[in-house]
Amino acid sequence: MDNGTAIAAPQSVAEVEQLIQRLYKPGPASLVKNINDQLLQLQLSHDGWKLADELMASEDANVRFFAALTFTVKLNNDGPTLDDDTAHSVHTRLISWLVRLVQRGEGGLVCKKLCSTLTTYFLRSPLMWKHPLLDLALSFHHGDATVEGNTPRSADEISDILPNLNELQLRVLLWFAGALAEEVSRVPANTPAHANLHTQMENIVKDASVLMQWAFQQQSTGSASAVRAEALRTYLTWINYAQPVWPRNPEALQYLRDLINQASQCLFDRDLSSEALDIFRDILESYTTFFQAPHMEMLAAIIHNHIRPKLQHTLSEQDPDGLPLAQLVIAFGCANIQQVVEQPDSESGSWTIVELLFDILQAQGYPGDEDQLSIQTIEFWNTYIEYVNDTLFTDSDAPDPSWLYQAKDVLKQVVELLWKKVWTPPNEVAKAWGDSESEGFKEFRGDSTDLMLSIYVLLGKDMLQQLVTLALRSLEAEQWRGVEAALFCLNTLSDNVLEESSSEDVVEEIFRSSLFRDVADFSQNIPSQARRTAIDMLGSYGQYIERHAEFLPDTVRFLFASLEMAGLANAAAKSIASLCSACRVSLTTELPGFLSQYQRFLESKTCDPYTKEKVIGAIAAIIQALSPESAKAEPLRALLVNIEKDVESARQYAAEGDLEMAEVMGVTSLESLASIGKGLQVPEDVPIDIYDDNEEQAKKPSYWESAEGREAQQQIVGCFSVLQVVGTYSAAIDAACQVLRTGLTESEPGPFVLPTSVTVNFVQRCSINTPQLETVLSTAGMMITQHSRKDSKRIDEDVRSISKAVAGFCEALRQPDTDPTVAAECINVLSELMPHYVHVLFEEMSASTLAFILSAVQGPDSMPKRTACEFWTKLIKPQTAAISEDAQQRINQVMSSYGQQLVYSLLHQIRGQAQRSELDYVCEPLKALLLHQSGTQTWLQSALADERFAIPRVTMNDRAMFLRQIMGSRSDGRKTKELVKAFWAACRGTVVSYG
Amino acid sequence: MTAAQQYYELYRGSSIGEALIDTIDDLINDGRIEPQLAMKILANFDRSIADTLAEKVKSRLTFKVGQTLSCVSREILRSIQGHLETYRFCDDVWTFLVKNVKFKSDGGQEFHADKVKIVSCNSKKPGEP
Repeated sequence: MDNGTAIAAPQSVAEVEQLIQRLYKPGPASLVKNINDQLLQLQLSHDGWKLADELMASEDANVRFFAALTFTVKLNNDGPTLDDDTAHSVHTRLISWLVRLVQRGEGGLVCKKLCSTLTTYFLRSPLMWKHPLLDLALSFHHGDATVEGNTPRSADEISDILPNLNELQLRVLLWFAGALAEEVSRVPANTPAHANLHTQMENIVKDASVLMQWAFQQQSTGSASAVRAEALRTYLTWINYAQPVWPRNPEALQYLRDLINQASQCLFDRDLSSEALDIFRDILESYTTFFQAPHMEMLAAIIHNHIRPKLQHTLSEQDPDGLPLAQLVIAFGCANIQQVVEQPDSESGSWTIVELLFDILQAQGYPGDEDQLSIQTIEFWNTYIEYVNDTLFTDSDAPDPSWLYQAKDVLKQVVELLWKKVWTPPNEVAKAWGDSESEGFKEFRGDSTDLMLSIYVLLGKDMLQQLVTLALRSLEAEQWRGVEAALFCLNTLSDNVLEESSSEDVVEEIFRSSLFRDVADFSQNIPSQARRTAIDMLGSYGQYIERHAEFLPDTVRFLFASLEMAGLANAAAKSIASLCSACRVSLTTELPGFLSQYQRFLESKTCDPYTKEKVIGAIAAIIQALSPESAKAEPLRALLVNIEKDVESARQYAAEGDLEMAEVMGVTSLESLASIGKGLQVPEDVPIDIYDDNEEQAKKPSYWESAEGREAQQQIVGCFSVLQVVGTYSAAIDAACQVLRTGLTESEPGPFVLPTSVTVNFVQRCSINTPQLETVLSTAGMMITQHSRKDSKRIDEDVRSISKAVAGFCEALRQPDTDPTVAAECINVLSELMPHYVHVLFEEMSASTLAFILSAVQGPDSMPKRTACEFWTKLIKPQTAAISEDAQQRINQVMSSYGQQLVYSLLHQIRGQAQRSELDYVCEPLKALLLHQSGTQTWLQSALADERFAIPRVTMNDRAMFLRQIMGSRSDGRKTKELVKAFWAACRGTVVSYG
Repeated sequence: MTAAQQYYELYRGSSIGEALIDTIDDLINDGRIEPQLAMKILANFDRSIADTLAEKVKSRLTFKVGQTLSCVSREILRSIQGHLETYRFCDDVWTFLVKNVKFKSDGGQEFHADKVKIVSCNSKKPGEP
């Protein structure tokens, strides 16, 4: 549809010009497309060369640009097939146009395009162009095209010509030199077809280096400065070209290295310094070896004498222009990290770098706000500590290196500077911050503490002592932001500190100080952030508090008090959860008090679903530590009463028509119940008494199987009744599944290890319209897996009921693509029945269910396809546990009935329907068939001969070959996969791999 | 402005990489692009994903494993003390096969994996110090 924008074919050059001019004017997309199509036809036509030449004479720069583009299009399409005369003629015309246009003062747009066209000529012409830069320079000098072809010339010639060229001519030459390096860098260097081009570049670099050298010598003022700027850009392009192509060609590289000194002079040039800084940083970061030792010394001297005073000035002025200066210093430091670490006394090479990086961290301002430099220094310090740690720990038997003392000293200073930099801003500053500043500051804090973790590996206890001292000194001075920063750092180190018991005496200094008494005194004017970080510390150092029970009661009381303070509640709830979980055994005597505190908390303003869930889980963890099991029942039931109240509120809200609140209360009740379940799980690190071999004890039924225990369980199950009100909400179903899962993962009976019938009933109450049905199914699958373990109780009846329900879901779905996620989970549950419930599988498995699983293999959706392939693989392979003869017979029957269809479905995937990423899964059942089913060859033969299989790209011979090869690969799974991938690629007409 | 760099192709095996390759396959299949362009797209992907993961991803994940190895850098070991089953260093690539791993995310949330394979490639290019 052209929407009235159809374009008639132009009949003259003038009409073509008009069309080009319309192309560059704003207009509807369809018009632009139609014009473009017309013009493209002209460009590709036989007369394209002539048209390009005629358009070049236009007065309009856009038309001249289009003319150059037409030359490029023609060269790209016809270049390699041109005869020598035409190629020579095109070459001469292009240079001639460029020379004439430059003489007329043509602008950058057209000149750059013509340089790019000349580069296309260089790449695509059948004639070799040996001296492109020299030829163009000569042509500029003579005022018209001078192309000497392949006659040898001296490289010095270009240096004789350059002084005669004007600034524009020099710039165009530089553009051309840059375009050559850029375009040739895209040509693969390792193929014979292109090797010649790269060999030519080894000669061209001689002229290019003379050109750049001359350009760098131009005056740094006025319009000549533009020539120097262009030289700098061309220089980087050539270095980029050289990096991958000349790693073992020092002669060619030397032409570029010889220019380092002159290029570095641009660092002093007021107009060019910013660009030069970026370019030198870029090379230092990504091509360090380009610089050799003398170059590094020269750069060190420049940093010491020139950059250092400028950077220090910008730091004192908080001038953002310091950024590129700092980045160069950092890049230089990273590139020379060995010297910086191992020769700390080298003034310009090492100490200046370290000193400047200290200066940056000492400068005023908050990271993320006005201080943009500190965040940059983290990269350097990471490199520094990584080097030190690598060197020290690679050979732990070697004596300490002589530089270690100074390195430690440097790192201690870094720790203190970082501590100072992560101080939170005063309120008046923070209030003025937007998201970007807050995020930037947060990021800096995170990066700083990550760095501290690495430094801790080296400094260990000394660093811990340093931070504790900073915290206590700030505490004494009532500098709460300093206290907060130190605690923040200490929290990050907690996992590592707690691993070493020798560090406990240092941590004790904090816990014995007035810190927690002060923060617990809410009459004191302390920033809430400091209180929050102190609360976090109690969570982070839970294991320490567990070992020092004397701190525990006060700590938890402080946390419960904080729970009722706005702004502290979330942090307090989180720490309560973590502390109660870690110190559950020591807190059992406090349980009655906590239960009443929890009741009070439920009435407070800070009580919300998050805090409620965390705290109730924390109390449940303490209940878990009670012994014997019967002692848990009463406090547990006390907690459950609160859940029941929420369930009741949900019901009431629903009855009143307030569905939103009904959902909130209902979901909260189930999530809190799941939290209790999680808290009651037996911790993984509970010691097992391997000498306790009391079989009598083992045989004794658990308390939770007694009538009393069952009563508590009934109370839990009763809470599920809230699903009658909120069962249509995803979050509620998710939370209910979470409750069931907390018990499923337990190995011993417990309050949440509910009878399997609870899960079965839950599944049976679902329909395909139930939200999160996939979660319900995966919970059922989890239960079957648990009861498939070696010593677990078999639950045939329950599994039978679940299978029936799953078969019902499959039937209701009709096709897997109705809901691929649910379909995948249904197949997965059925898969879980093998091998221990394989008899149940075949009792409940109807032909339609098998057809459903088969259609999943053939369908478009990845998830059901994957699980269906797993199902068939499990079925075909010998079962991994003993099964009845009857069950084995049923498997054989299924395979003889469905084998052919399965093979057809698999081949349908392999002939191109499957995505590349699915081939690994599709191969698995095929591998199993080849190994374990004798009829596979016949099935494959028949499927490959099927008319529906025909595709033009693959002949009958190809198919026969595939059959022979695949049958031959039956004992080599890897080979089967390779053959399948190759056949799939052949069917699709694509490559086997993109690597 | 960035100097030319070589990038690993390992992220092509990630979910997002596989999805991209599947899409590229479809485009080639429909005759909408040539395989040569596919190679370029994937080369861009290699670069972009490596740069983006390095620069933009700020979330952190720690994990604990076990069994000390004297030849592994202490920095890696900082978080390792569990069941390191196998490790190897071949062609500048460290591979650790770890069992029974507990991860801890930024928010303190913990999760468990039975088996984890850690492939650690040198971020510096061959020949760089």
